[in-house]
Amino acid sequence: MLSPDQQQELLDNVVEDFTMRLRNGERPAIAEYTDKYPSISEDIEELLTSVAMIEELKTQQQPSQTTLKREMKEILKLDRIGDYRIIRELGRGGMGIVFEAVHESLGRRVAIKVMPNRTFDDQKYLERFRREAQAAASLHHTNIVSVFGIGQTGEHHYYVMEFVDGEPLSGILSRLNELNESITRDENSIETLVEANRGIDKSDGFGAVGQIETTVKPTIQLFDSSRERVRWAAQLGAQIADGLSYAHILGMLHRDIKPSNLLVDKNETIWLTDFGLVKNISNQTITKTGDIIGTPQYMAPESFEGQYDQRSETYCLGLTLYEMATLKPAFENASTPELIRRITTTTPTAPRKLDPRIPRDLERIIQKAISKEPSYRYQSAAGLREDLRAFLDDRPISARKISMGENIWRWSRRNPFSAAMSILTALMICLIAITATIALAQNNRALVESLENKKKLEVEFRRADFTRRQAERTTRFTVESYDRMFRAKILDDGELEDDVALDGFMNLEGISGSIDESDVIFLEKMLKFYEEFADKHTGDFELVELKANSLRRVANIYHLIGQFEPAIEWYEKAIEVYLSIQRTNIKSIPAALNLVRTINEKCRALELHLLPKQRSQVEVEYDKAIAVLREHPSINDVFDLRLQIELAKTLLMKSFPSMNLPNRIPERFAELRKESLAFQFGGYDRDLLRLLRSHRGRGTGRNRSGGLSKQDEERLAQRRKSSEDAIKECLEIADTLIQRKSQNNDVKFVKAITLTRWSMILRATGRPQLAAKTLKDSTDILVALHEAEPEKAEYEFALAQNCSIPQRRRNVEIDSLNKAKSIMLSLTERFDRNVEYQRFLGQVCIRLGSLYKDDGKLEQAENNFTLANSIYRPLLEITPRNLSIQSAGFKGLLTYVDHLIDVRKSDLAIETLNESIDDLEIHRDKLGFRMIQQLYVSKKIGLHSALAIVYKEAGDYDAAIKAKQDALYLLEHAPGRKRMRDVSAPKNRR
Amino acid sequence: MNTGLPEHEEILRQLGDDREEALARFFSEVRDRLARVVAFRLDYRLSGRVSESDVIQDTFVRAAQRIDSYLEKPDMPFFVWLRLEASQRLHEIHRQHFGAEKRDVRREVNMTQKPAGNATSLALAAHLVAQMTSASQIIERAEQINRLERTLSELNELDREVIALRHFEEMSNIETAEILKIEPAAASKRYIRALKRLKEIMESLQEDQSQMN
Repeated sequence: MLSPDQQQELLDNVVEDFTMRLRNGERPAIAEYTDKYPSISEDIEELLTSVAMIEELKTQQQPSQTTLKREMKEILKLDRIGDYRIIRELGRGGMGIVFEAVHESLGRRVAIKVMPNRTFDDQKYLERFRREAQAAASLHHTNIVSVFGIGQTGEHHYYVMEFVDGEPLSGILSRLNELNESITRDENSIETLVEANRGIDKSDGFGAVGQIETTVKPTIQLFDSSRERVRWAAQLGAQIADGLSYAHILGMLHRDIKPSNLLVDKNETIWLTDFGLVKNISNQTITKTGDIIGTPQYMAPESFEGQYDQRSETYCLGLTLYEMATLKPAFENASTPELIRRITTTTPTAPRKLDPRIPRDLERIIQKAISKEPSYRYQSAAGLREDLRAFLDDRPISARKISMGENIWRWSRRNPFSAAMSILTALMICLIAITATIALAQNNRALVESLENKKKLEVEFRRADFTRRQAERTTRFTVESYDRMFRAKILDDGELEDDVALDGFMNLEGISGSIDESDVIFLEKMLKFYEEFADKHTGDFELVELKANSLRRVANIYHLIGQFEPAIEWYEKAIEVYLSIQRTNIKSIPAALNLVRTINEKCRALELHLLPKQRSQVEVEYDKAIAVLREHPSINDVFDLRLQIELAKTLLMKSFPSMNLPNRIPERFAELRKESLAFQFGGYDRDLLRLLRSHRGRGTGRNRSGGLSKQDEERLAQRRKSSEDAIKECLEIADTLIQRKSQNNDVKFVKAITLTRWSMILRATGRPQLAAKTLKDSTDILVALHEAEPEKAEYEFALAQNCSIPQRRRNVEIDSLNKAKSIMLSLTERFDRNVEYQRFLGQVCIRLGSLYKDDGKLEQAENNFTLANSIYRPLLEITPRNLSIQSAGFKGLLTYVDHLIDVRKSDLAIETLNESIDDLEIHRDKLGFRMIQQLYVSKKIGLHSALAIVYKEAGDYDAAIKAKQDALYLLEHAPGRKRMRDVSAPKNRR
Repeated sequence: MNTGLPEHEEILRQLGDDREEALARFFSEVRDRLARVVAFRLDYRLSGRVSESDVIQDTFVRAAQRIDSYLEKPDMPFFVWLRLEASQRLHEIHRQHFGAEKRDVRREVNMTQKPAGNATSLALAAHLVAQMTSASQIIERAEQINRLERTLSELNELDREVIALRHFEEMSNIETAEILKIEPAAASKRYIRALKRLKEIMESLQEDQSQMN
């Protein structure tokens, strides 16, 4: 009997010996050891099983190349296999050699794949191979290469399949790609074509497993247009999907879909080869032969977790489609771990980025098919096939925009933490978007169908009327669902009524985080339908109005994403339609209101787009709106006050340019360049930081410090005069209305806002006492309104805005700003998706911080700055295109940094700046428009400049110089350099 | 296990005679083994950016710089010391590449002190996958690797590390004990225990699997 210690030692020795032998390539039997040490045989058995498992998993037995070669040679010598006479070799791959042969007794041509003996040195795999081959033999489909049978000749196993006179898709794709590139190189490409046609696919590098036809003329064709190639891709894709769908229904998986396993014949029929066989044969021993059968290039991400189902196959088919459409593999070949990393964590470049001629619908189909998350893909090959067919028939596809879910998924992969926090929100959006999109897609289809019906209209008169009504109903329904979706997307809580409050546009702006160009594209597409219908039914007031509404929506969206020029253009289109409606419905109040509101919105866009000196143009527009209202028959209606209220609002807007002027980007850009140049030539110091900062926040509308030219002053005075007039009139209207209808809160609200603005004018024109009194009147009204309707956020917001108006005495202003802050804190908590509220809260905090700082209360100052920045940072990420937020956030950041230098926290300042630079890089991807790209560059220059200053303050001159160089580099490479040189010229001379 | 190296005393004697020459000779003896360590521990995300042979070369340079201090206090076997140098070099490389990755969960390989959390089982899975050459093989083995990974994650850290050292770095029991700074008998005990535990877990997982199917 062994002592426990001895037993332990013995066990370790046994294990070690066994391990060594395994590593030397032996296959020691466990029984050898158990027989030798029967007393511990149980332990031995247990341990050695584990060891064998680990070692087997670990070791890649180096194959004996010589054996394999010898076997291959043997196979090549075959001239007959049973009843099959071998004609020639078609090709070879990792798994064996493919021959063309004739089945003598039947006289039919077949393809035979013969595999080296070693392939099945484990009986288990041979069994499985047989089973799978039997199953594959039961598949009969136009796009699947039939398997006739399997057999064994001598030591070699083989299977017999249908002979396809075609070429692997991989070869066609690589030649098309070459051709494509040479065409771009050389217009005169006939020779290249011939050249390319002569080149035969030798091997695609991963071993062609299917049949490889070496003599048949390649089926390559030069497509006359990219449209043809795209249709070719979709058409082949639909065929593969059809074949796969058939097999899936029968419960068979192909398991290795990739271009080299697809054969294309002369009739443009595509064939799936090696159905179900590849995996089973290749799983073990093939790798022992050392042949590289393939890379994971065409594997679905979930495969790496051992998951594989029919959705994985639609994914693989998606990759093939991607390659057919773009002529580039979705994932370029790389080392295995690198490929796995890419496949599981990255998204292939969008097809349209590689080739903008690819239709958007096809891109969507591909993207849906290759979603990382299986549940976002087509759930069956049939689904993919249907969409491809729809695409080919120019029918609407189902894959429209549902990728939103995928986007969220991707985003949550990248940001697991923040994703967890907002998962509910995300789910909500997702749900809404998907429901709406599906509804829309369905309607869309109905719409198209009814359009088709319309053609029959001329023939079948009786049905025509019915169809027309049907079509109208469909259109209306479509528009309504679209409208629902628009609202669901923009308004998270449905807070915004149709009757937008004063500065309604600002409210819209506040929630514009989720809007982007794709909405515009989508909308424009919808518009085609509206227009078609509206034009055919000019008498139908409702339809025409729907059209106008949607024109206005497009304009609004452009406006929200800062594209003012197209916004104005679309506003004009909308105004034209509204005007025609209004003219035929002189008495209609809604018609007038729609017209006026659209004009006002256009004015907003103009204000943002034009330079201050062009403002007179805007006033002309406002006057048009005012005229419409004044001339309306119901303007003096005692009961319906909507027109009067609108008039007051319009007057107010005319009197003041937007309270919240975002940047005039080109102008700001130039400013920043000047600053950056000053920095370049004048060395760096803190004044510059202040300069950078002071230019960020406010628009040019308000000039606190002097330095106005005489011209400017005149213009300002003139404008002030017209503002005063408008405001006075507005107040009169409000007072009259209040006398008439003292219970109408809307009117009171207009009055309060008017008073606020009036007080600002009074202050600016040197009447501070009256200004203070007026402001108090306004605040009193707002407080009363808030008490009456505490749930109405706009009253509170206005109240907070009143509280944030600068005061003469600092302590009064601090008190009042603190009030504003607490109101805004509560508002932002209640409406946590309203970015405008958050922006304003940040602004209040920064102002408050600066005042505290002036008072020497550094701690309070820092608290406020920190709060502001913690608000802005996520906000900047959500709204990369909201200019007023981007600008406010930038200013807040620089103020904070300035403060940090003052309190000698350079480290924190540097860290903060570096983080912001990182953030900026991350946001950059989201920026699409050139103008905003410029803003991005400007900001980046600004940040690097600031960084240089902070480093210098901290005494780290090397880092300062480095940051300065970064800034200069950016400056050098910034878009539109020419203008910058103009600025720099005079400075150089100095 | 056969390290190809002479006895400890002999190594020290030869190093004492002709430091550089002996170091180079011994190093080339264990080069393959070190390569295995590096291949196993090098983060798979770096493959393609960092080559194993570069790490080995760096390790040699490092060893040449530090051989004096080793000889002053040769309190661990020579090979274990070289492995330590290699691991420190790897550490530097990982820090260099992932140090800036603020928001990423860092899978730092920590070989010098206590094994770090799940690093071993992750390294293991990645290592296994990296060796695979074919797509179908990965599919086939994904399940096995997953199972092994899950099994390993059920083991405690030290047991896991023992398995990794003995089977993936192919260390002997003595070396394993040195690296983990435990007695050889204890190391052996742990190893045997870990293997048994491994089998148990594996069996229970298999049962789960078959129940699911």
